[in-house]
Amino acid sequence: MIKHLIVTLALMLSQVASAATEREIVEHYAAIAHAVYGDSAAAAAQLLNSVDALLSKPDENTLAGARSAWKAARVPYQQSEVFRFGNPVVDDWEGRVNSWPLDEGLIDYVDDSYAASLGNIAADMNIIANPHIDLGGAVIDAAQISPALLEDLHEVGGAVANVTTGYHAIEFLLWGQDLNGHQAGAGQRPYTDFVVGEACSHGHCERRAAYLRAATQQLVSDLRYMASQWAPGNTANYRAELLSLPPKQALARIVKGMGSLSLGELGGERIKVALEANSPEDEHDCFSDNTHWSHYYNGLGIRNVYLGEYQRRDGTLLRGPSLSAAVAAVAPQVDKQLRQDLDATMAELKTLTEWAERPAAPQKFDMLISPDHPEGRALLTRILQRLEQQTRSIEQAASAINVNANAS
Amino acid sequence: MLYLSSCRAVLARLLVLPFSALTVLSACSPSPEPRLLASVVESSVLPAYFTYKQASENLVVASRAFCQAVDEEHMESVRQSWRDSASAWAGPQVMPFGPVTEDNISWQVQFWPDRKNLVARKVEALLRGGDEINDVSLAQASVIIRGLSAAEYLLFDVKGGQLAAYQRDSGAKRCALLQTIADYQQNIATRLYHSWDADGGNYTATFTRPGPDNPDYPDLNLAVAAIAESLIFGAELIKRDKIERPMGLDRESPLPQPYLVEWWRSRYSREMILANLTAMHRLYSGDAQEGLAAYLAAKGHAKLSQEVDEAFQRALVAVNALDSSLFEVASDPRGDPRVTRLYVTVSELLTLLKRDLPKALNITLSFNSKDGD
Repeated sequence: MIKHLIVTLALMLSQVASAATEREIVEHYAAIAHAVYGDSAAAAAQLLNSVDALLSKPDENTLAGARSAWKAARVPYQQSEVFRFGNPVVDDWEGRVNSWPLDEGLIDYVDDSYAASLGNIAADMNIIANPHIDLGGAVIDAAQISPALLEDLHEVGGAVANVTTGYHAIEFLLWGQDLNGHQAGAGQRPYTDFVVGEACSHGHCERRAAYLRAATQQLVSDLRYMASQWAPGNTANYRAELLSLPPKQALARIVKGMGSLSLGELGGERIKVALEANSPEDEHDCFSDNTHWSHYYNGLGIRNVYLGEYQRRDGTLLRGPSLSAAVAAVAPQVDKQLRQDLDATMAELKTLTEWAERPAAPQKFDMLISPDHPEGRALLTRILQRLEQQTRSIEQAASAINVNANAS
Repeated sequence: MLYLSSCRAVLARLLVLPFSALTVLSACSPSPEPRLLASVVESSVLPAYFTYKQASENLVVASRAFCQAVDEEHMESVRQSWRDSASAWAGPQVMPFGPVTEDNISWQVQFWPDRKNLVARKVEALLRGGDEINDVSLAQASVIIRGLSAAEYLLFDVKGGQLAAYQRDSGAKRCALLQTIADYQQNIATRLYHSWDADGGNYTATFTRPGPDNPDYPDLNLAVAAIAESLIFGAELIKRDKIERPMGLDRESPLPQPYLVEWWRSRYSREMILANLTAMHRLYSGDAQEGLAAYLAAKGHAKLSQEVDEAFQRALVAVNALDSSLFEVASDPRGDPRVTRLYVTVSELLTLLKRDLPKALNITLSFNSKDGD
């Protein structure tokens, strides 16, 4: 009898606990989003400092400094992408900051081998070389390169490859085209492309510098805007909207973001297309060859959200109420399986980074997708299988706590 | 499993109430889900793969004949065989379950959208290169040049797909590639058909007999969900990829992107959507007594069953009303209100399927490869 009473009490308590926890999970999810976008904005602000250093004194060192600041800026941002697909505020905004692949001839000079999207009327527009742009009769005044001008020209002509802003536009300006195909090597833009005066290479260095600065400024302000959408204590931002939803619906958004990034975006668009088509132009960070880290941090972002964890740029660890704990409370096996799957994916993604970063004969993503690289193909295929497997486990976990990702 | 055990309980009660024995027996033996699954295979899956296999055999024959007699008449005959193959592929394209999901087969048949014109660039690079073209070299090459997309380029492109391109010195190599692609496609189509066939891989048995020992379908609901997910996948594919993006309807002020239209080189987008919708409608209706429509009605959702059918009818009427390909419409600044009408009807169909069907069938949809960007 007493035993029964204790069991009943324990059940009641756990139900009370889980009812409180669902909202807490959503609150903590929002706290991670706030931190990750805050970190992204701070890292972008550091990138802007490095860009200013490059532009005030262009040389090998300052160019290298700007490039490493760009790579550092990708670390938090790629972890933020798990917030994208479930939350309309992110999905509607995302094209401004991380759109790819781009027809880079829109922005600057390109090699003769450049192949743009079919039918893209602006594919060779070269904003940097042209203070006046004639677009099918309508003349655009591009004398002053400002964030506002870049915003106007983003997706000009309706082509999604006409990307004027965001990480990849900046990446192109810092590295230039990667003309090495499946061979070793990233873009080789010389620092002299930013030297104003006689030493300027490829012309229009002043406008190129203005473009780089405007695009980086825009990135900082876009990321600050997104961080503010997740800030606590504001009744009119997206965080407030998310918390006003029935908790099950908010949880559905969380799960939708995890599953969509895992299977369709990272697995499909970012790995499978490039791999199956053997197409370096479909590589995510194709100018810098930083793709391995971008994929790694996408994977980590999914894991973060499930475990309710995020390690900030300053090293502090954010930890709180998690989906994992909620699933474990009702279906420990399902939770264990998903945690194992997430770890297995991260192990393969770590291998991807190790191959790319090894000192002797590094194997970057664009080399792995060559038809003549069976080991590369095998590694990427394993990553695809892991992503597929973890997505199925995400579905199981959602179902264990009665969350339907389609009802987000 | 649950269904069987409840059947057993009913059967036990039969001993007490013998007068209702006949009705109850007919209701639970065999249970409706296996009948539904068998009917889907019989009326949709096997015919779709059989048609695709036949079309691919005809494409091989027509390609051979053309390469032996390079003239306008034979080229037109290969083009027609290509169109028939594309229409036949429209069935498997909207049934993404079973063996077609392995080895990335759908990409080996069709690479689209091809924003950066990779099909043309890779085909021409292969033809320029020194490598011999045969089934082995094709199987090692990019998926892009193995399928109907590359064949479409070789048959319809304004430069690379004209008779003149086959009459030059390099024409023999071009024809060899066309024949090798046709052979490769026939191989895929034959494999797919046999993988379902009871005398071959018999995936039919896997699909129609869910159970705890069946790794693909451990329970009945998952197999039923595969049918519903196919319909939703098809409606999403038509709405988003075949209409919304090429017509630029995903933007505030629509700016059409004609080169995102499916099969733009052959101007075959309209026929493809028609063939998709026909295959989906068939998948939904099945045989009059045993299809998903009848199953829904028997489960107490007669109204929804009827509504979905009507939504299919409206979409079919709308696509039949078009008289040109979407490439032409997208290239014409005046547009065409009939495309907007088709878009609206397909969107309504999708809403019904996505919002109401899972609830009625008591299934949860899984993530699919289209959930990304």
